[in-house]
Amino acid sequence: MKSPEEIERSLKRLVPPPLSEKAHADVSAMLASLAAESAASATHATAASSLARPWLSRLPASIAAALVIGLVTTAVWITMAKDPQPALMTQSPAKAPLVAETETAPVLIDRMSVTDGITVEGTLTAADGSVVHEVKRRVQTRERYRDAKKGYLITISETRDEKLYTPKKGF
Amino acid sequence: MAFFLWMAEATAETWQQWFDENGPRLLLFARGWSTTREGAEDLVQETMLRMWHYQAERGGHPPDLALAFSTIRFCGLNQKRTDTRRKKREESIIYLNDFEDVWLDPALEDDEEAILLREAVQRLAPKLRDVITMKIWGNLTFQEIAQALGIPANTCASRYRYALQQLAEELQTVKEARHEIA
Repeated sequence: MKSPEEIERSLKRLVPPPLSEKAHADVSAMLASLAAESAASATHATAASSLARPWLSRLPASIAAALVIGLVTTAVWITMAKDPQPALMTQSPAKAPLVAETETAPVLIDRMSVTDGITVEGTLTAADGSVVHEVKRRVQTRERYRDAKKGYLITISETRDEKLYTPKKGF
Repeated sequence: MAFFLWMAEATAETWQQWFDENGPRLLLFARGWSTTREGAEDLVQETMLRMWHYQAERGGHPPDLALAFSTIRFCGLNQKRTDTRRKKREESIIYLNDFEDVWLDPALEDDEEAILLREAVQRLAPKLRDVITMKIWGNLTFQEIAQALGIPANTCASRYRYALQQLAEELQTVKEARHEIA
């Protein structure tokens, strides 16, 4: 009887065969589709991120405003030191708003797209002779908004079917 | 936007390479969880989809093979749980299936012993076959197999040794029987 080591060596000689051509093509098309989807999501996320942090886009303006206020304060202080006048005291820059008031409209916090299912429906030949996969996918998009005024967290979900055409690579 | 597209292409390429390398191993393992080749290939596709989403929150790179095997097992269990009627029907025919279609490539090993060994592996109990598949063709350690199957590493090692012993005995028995007939 063979030893376990010999059996182990014999087993290693046996090689698992690859997936069928169709299954391999289906998975490849699915990966291409998922990658395209993640690129689209990343783009949306960047846009949503800037929407969700409006203070970020106003940061340069706020810094500029603070500098102007600082300069004005210094100028007023120097002027008062030279010739104190009550009229100048009323133009107190400290009362000027440094940052605009918080928006009352709901603010987008995040946006997420999830693929529920992908079906490769077949292949098509384009006018230029190239072969593309016809992929159907079900995508669920979820957006969350915060209404700071009312204290609500609003979630909007949308499910849709999409058709994608991705170039077929290899055979 | 162009940056994201470039990133997406690079990610897809990495995953494709990973799949080209490991697809046959996944299929071999999935075959133990499905009665047909098509079913096993569907299981592999579902696993790839699940792993993509799982890995997306962890850097987006392809997973370890142990995780892939574990996911196939999870998907296989799910599939069976969702349809008990189909499960019963499948169980009644599972031993009549011809695993040659995906189990091991007969073109690459046409000697008698290889064929006998392949057939013996097919007859192993599923829990022994899973360990053999992950160890021999997945090159996983017992620790990794233990994590994938949710059992102690010592149990994996025991199952592995027991499976090898069982294969050796069966090979011997079949050979002796054939020689007697000859």
